[in-house]
Amino acid sequence: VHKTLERQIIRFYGSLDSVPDNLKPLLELISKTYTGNDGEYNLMERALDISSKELTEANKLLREENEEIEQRVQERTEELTQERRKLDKIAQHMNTGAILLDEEANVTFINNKAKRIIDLGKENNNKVLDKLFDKFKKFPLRGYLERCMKGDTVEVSEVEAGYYIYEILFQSLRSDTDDKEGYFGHMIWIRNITDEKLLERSKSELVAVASHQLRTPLTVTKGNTEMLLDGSLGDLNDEQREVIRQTYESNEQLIILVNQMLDITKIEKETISKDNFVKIAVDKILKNSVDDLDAFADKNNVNIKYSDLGGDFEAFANVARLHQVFQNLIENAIKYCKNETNGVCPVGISIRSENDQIEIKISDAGIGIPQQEKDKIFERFYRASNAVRVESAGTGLGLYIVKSVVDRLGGSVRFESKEGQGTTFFLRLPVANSPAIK
Amino acid sequence: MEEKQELKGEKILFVEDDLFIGEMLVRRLNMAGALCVWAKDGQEGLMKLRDDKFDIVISDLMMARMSGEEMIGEIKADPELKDIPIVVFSNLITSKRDIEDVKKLGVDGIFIKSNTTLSSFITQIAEILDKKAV
Repeated sequence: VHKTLERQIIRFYGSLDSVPDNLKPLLELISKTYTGNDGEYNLMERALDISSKELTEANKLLREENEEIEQRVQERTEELTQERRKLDKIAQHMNTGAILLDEEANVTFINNKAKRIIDLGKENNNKVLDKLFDKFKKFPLRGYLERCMKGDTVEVSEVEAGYYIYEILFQSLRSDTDDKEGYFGHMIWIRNITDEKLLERSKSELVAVASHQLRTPLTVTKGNTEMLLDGSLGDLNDEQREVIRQTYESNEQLIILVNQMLDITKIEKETISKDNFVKIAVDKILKNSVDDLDAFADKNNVNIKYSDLGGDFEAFANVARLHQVFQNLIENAIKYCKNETNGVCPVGISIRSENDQIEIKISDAGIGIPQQEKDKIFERFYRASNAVRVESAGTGLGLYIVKSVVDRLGGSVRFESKEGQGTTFFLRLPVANSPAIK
Repeated sequence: MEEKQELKGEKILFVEDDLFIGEMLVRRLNMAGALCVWAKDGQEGLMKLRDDKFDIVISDLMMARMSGEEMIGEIKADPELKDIPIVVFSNLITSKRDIEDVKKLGVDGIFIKSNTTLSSFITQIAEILDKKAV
C-alpha cells in the first residue's frame, strides 16, 4: 500500500522532482519503511521487472522482424502485381487475339482483341468457343481444336469472316519433354491478316493477267517451232533441227511455268468455298494418279508398289486439285529416284485411314532433301540444290501447290528425308464424316 | 516431209485477233489441206459466216469489238448457222470451271492454245468433222 501511495504521489505531480518539498519527507519515509520492512518483496518485484523488460525487448525484436518480413512480402507482392499487370497489359492489348484453354477446353483467359474478333459481349467464358465457331462457321474449327487437344499444332492460314481474313493457330502447350508436367492446356491465336492477304491477292491477280498474256507469244513459238521440227516448212539440217528442238523444249518449260503460276493464283483464290468440294474416294484418286504416271515410272526404271491398307477413304475435296497433289508428289518420287536395287528404283505408296484421318505415304529411295534446306522446300519457286543438279528443268512450284491445296483441305503434309537415301512424304486428310469437316 | 492432208477440202473459219497466232494457224491448217478464212474478231467472223458456207468455226475467246462468247451466242441463236460445229481455241481457259463455262456455249471442242500441239489439234479437228459428217 505504501508503495502505491508513493507512486500515486509521484504520478500526481508528474515526476519525483516536481513533488513539493513538504511532501518529500513523506516519500522518503515510505521508501525507507518499504525497503527496510520488505526487502524480499522488493527483490521479487525487481526480478519481475527485469524479466518483463527482457520479454518486452524480445517482443519488440520479434515485432520488428515480423514487420520486416511483412514489408518484404508486400514489396514482393507489389513487384509480382506489377509484373502481372505488365503481362496482363501486353496480353490484353496485343494485336493478336489470344484464348487460353485448360486441358478440358474450358476457357481460362481471353484477351480484348479476341473478344472483339468474336464479338463477345458480357457473356461469360463458356460462350467463347461457341462464338468462335459461329463466327467462322464455314471453317471446321471444331475439328482443328479437337486435333489440338490431341497434341497437334494446327495452323489455318486463310479464314475468312465477312471482309476480314484471319490466320488461326491452335497450339498445344506441352512442355518440351514428353512428360505430363508443365502441360497446361491449349492456346488459340487469331491474327487479322487482311492487309497482307489483299496485297498478296492483288499480286496474284497481276500474275494471273501476266500469265495469260504470256501464253499468246508462247503459243506462237510453240506452233512455229513445231512446224519447223516436223518438216512442214521444209527440211532442216541436223544443227538447225537441234537448235530448234532446244528452242521448242525451253518454250515448253516456260509454258509449264506459266500454267503452274496460273494454277497457284487459282488455288490462292479458292479459299474453302465448299461449292467446289464434293465427297470423293481418295483411294480412287490416288490410284488414278499412280496409273497416270505408270508410263513415266517405266521410263525412269521406277517400280511403284501401291498398298491399300484399308479404312474409310471418303473425303470432302476438290477432285482436280487432289489429283494434282498426288501427281506432283509421285512425279517427284519418280523423277528424283537414285538408289536402284536390281536395276529398279522403288517407290512405295500406301493409303490407310485411322481416327478420322486418311494418311497417304509416298516414299522413294531418291536423292533426298538436304538437311539445311528442309524448311524451304514448300516455298514458292524453291528447288533443292541437289534436285536442280539432277533435273535442270523444274519450276519449284510443285510442293508449294501440294502444301497450299492440302492446307485448304484441312489436312497436313510433312516429310522425313535423308540426303542420298530417300524421302517419305506423309499426307493427312480428314475423312468426310470427321468432326473436322462438320 | 509428206504432209497428211487430214483436212483436205474442209472450209474453216478461223476467228483470232492475234496476228502471229492467226498467221501460224492459217498456214498450218492450209498445209493440212483446209481452205482457211481468217476473221480478226467476232463481228467480222459473223459477217463472213453469213456471206459464205463453212464446215467448221475455230474461234478465240477474248477479242476486241465482239468476243468469241458473244459471237458463238449469235451463231447458236441463228437457225441458219446454229448447226455449224464450233471449236474454241483460247488461252483464257485455265480451270475445269472455265471449261464448264465454255461448254455451256454448246461448242464441239475446247483447246488451250499453249497446251496443244498443232498436229494433235489438226487431228482432233478432223475427228470432229468426221463425227459431224456421220
